[in-house]
Amino acid sequence: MWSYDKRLQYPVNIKNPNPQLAKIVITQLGGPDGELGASMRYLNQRYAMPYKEGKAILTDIGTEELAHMEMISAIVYQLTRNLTREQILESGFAPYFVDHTTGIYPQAASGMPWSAATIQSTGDPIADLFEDLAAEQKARLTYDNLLRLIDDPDVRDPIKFLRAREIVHFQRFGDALTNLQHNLDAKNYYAFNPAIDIRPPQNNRLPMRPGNGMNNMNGSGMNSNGINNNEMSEEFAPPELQPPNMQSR
Amino acid sequence: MNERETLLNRVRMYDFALVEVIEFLDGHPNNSAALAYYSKMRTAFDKAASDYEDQFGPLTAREVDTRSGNWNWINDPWPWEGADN
Repeated sequence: MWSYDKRLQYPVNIKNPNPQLAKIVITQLGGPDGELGASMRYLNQRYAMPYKEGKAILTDIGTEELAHMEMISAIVYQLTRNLTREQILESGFAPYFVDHTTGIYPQAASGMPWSAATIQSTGDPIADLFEDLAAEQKARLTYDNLLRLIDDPDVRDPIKFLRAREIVHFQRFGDALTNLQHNLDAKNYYAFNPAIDIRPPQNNRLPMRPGNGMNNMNGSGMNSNGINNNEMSEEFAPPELQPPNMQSR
Repeated sequence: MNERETLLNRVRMYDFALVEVIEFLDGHPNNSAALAYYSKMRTAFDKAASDYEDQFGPLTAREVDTRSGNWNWINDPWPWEGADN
């Protein structure tokens, strides 16, 4: 579960309202490569990750992205304080204003509302991690484009911080991919090795219940550790799995 | 129920009490009974959390004991994997 710290990860203190900038910065809240999508992407993908390093990386980066969402929202909020009618009409902010006033709504710079169609969660951790690496690069280039358009140092400063985080996260997802490929099959040059076909190590749960599409590509009914799927049913359904009795009172 | 689940349920219980009273206090910031309850639950939560963490590892990445020389934050099981792990 989560808890909330009453602070921004990096400070946002903007002196001059500027609805024109708000209209483009908001794309990093609700755009196709924005922070909301980043967080939802990683936090939803982590359930398919078979190894502890990857689970931790997706959890912790997905959590940091929530803090980035808050920073972007703070930038948009501060850029749209105390607007005059003229500022709204002349800045191109009017279409946003009629729908949302100065409320924070997750949308792209184009006005397209945030959509889960901008993310994937494939159940295949290699495919997911390649998406994540691409997502970090796309977010980084979006910040590059914002920096090309923004002069105000008060706005540039937190944007530069966020841009740097994209670069670091790209490295961390690289770590996760290296770890995953090593664990799945280090000799698999083509990195084609669906995780659903393997049994995760030690005391880990199977990614899928036995007898439910677990067959390997060779059609033998064995997974890549040579374990017959039908023999595992008992092991994964022990009787003490009953939920605790919650009725005492 | 194993020891881990017993201690974790204690953490969950006091954490849930805190969640409830925090949300209540947000709308009733001067309620002295709620303030006293918050204070009591926070003490109980802190103890329950450290009892759990002493035996079963960190509940947050800010509470990792590095004396083991190992980043045990990543250790299985993760919460979505169920109590039988």
